[in-house]
Amino acid sequence: MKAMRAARLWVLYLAAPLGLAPFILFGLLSFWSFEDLLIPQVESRADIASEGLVRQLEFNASFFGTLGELRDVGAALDETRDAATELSFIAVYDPAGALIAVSPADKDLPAGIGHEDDDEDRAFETDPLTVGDAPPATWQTQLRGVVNQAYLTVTGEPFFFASHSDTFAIGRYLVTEQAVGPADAPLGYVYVGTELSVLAEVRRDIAIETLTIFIAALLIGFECILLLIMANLIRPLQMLGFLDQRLGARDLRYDVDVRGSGRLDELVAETNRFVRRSSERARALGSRLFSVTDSGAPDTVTYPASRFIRLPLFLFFVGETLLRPSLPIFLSELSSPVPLEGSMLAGIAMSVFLFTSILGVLLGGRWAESHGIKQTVVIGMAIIAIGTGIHVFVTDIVMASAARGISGFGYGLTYAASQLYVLRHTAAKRRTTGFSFFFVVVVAAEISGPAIGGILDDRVGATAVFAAAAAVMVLAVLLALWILPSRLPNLPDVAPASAPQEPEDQDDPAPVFLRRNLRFVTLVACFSVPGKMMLNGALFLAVPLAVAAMGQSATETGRIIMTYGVVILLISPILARLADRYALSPVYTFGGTLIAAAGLLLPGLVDGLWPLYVAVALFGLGQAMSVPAQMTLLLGLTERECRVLGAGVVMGRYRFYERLGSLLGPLLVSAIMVFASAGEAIFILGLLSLAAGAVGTAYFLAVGNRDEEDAIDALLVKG
Amino acid sequence: MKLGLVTKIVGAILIVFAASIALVAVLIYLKFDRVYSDAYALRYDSVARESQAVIERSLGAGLSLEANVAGRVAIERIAERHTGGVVLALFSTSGAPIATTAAAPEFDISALARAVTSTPDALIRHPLGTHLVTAAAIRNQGFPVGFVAVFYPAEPAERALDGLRDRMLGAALALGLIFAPVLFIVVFWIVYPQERRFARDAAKMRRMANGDEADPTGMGVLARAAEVRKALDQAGGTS
Repeated sequence: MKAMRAARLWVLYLAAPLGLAPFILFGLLSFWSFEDLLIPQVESRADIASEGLVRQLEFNASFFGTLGELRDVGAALDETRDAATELSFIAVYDPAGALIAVSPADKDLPAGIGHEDDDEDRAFETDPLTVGDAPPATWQTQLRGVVNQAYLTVTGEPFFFASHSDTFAIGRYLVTEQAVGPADAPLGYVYVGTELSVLAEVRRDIAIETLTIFIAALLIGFECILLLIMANLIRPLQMLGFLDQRLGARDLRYDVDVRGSGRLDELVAETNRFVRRSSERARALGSRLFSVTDSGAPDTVTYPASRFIRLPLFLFFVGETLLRPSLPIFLSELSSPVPLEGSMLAGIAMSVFLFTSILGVLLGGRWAESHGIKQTVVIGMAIIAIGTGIHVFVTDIVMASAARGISGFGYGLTYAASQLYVLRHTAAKRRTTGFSFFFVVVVAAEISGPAIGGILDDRVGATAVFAAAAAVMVLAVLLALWILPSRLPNLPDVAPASAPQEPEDQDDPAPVFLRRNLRFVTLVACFSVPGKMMLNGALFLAVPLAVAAMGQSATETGRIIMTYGVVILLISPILARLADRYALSPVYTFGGTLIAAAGLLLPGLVDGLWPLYVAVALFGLGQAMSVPAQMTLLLGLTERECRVLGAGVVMGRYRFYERLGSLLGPLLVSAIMVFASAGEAIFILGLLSLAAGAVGTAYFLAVGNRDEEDAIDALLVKG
Repeated sequence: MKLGLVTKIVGAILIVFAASIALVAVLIYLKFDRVYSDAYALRYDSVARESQAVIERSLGAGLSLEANVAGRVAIERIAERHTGGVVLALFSTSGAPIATTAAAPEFDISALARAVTSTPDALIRHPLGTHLVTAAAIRNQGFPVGFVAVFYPAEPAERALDGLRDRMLGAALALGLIFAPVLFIVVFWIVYPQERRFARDAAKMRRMANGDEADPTGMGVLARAAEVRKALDQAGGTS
């Protein structure tokens, strides 16, 4: 029996990569098939470019007899290259293999071009893969062979079309040859070379984008399966564990709220029935061995379901990030009643979003406390879905700003209420883990959304992207309505922050009340605001500018920024569990901010692209440590404020100040860049954040993270 | 309708699997479509640039584009080198035709004329249904005096992309058909014994809740429930 269980476990481990296999295979087959189409295009481009030159040479040679007697051949080659800038060189050789002219004139041609006398055998060694000889047997060629054969058998056509002709790989060039004059007695040959690195770059870009699409699809698939397993397996098992524990303690005061219809749910429901009957019996017997309620009927416990919000939230963030690649250009091209630059128009509309999202965050926590978390999440998502839908019909910048404003408000409401949901559904000892999944969901959406949105925008246009984003958000609304529990969990050790109560000893408004807590102020000023400043100022603004200043493409920028997301996705869940297990939230908050800031010093100290990659990876590591832990620390530092104002209000206020950091970061980078380069701006921002982090760490080391008065109260109450 | 754990999990995993493959296939195809269309159009960019350079050189004599015969000859010669429905045409800045090597596809030329003359240093590409066009401004002393347009058929690119789409669809279907049963078997093999175990334990718990004989073998909660039942029986002296 044990062996069978172990075997099942092994099969499960093996099945996980098996699930990836079709995706990897599909990617490889599609990519190879596409490559077979693309390479002839590159060849054909070289042929078309050299065609005119060959005709011109033939025409002129008809007057002089040989190519060698022609003048200004070099100038003709230069002209052809001017018209086809992607070509690396054009060379003309006589039939004996002597060079007549080359463009550019100082080009160091690869050895082996040209014919030896009139011999048809080429004088150079060619790359067997592109000449058409049998390629060496590798796993790729074998796989191609098997697929080709299978496809041929079923459809009567080959899957791959190997149509490389007249083109040779010589050194780092793809060289096309065209004879000048009659084929049986050529006057010479024109050779056109294209850098293979250009083709390799195209291949690399497509491979990386394909990989991004895979990651996006897998993340979406993973979230769906996770929800399914959580709802059908993990949560009922947790409920059963709770009942098991209570029965073990002879505690018959609780049964659980179970609604599923599976076998496991049935087991939980029967256990509930057993508890109810046993409770009635224990009460009737008046036995002191058992704990029962006064009425004899157990209280129904609603079990936490923190991860139920993952998928709706993920879809919500994906919907929002789908717009990222389309919005700036879309907004800048709209008509405006006031004559303004396009970039200014886009900036205005985007600022409206930021402003209303801050408003939404402030109100969201309060509304969620008073009107219910689920309701606020659903209403927030519905508002942003409507706002995004309006984008489809936008005709001018006023309407666009209104749509952005509506979306921003919905975004803020959802963000604040979702955080409160996570807090209410997470046990105090697992808070950092709870907030880390919130953070991971945001980052996963940041990776998937723009990748999908960019591709859709390219082929179907911005309006279709807006419609798709609105549809995804409607799906998120429906899912949230369907799966989020309306009732708050009421496990004894869950929901530590109570609902808002009337303040007993303070009349100050919330901001003043919070500002009196110096630890709260220090957390905001030294860790939260610098974190957002670094994110929006350094990562999203200065890094792209630094990459562009190095002459690198936007794709390279995308890769560097993606490093941030990948680092967080990989390590955040592990780090958060460690933080909860060993109570490391303060250490993570301080250490994470210092690591993130120190990482940003690197591009100012070392030139090149790799320091940027390392800096962004370190920044990701620091953020993965600091961001989820900040929330745990915040709730620990503001226990009194949470009791008085409600956790939603405290978190809303915290996010409000944090967003000011988001505004400050780009402004600061712009100001620094008046006198410094983008790399130096990253360095200075890193230095400022390092200083802030060091001051904050020193403060907390000096005063501790708990109010002395509260600590004494706790001791007295305990005593 | 009650769905068992096996049906739910296996069904959902298969749906997610199929949806993910479909999403990947659509997105990759759209990406390839974009890159290939660019590469296809780039072939004719050099033709437009070459025509532009030749015609601009011939303008030095002071003749207007309309009166310049060299421009017409140039596009004729360049067009001769290209087969497969490639048409070159010369237009004034307003879009009035000056010369054409064959019948150009009919379309509203004014938008193209505006785009070319407003950015005379750039090449403008434009789709025209069955054809694509790449246009380059003809500049005299830096100012646009007309433009040359290269019309080429979209059909070869569409055919190639249709072929690619069919092959990708075939690959997705084949992989789905191969892997779906494998996934089904693996998930079924893992989940079904659990499902049976849960059903067995639920039946045992039902019997205990009904006051029938207690069987504590199975999940821990059954043993705990049996202990409670025993303790209650002892406290009450009866079951």
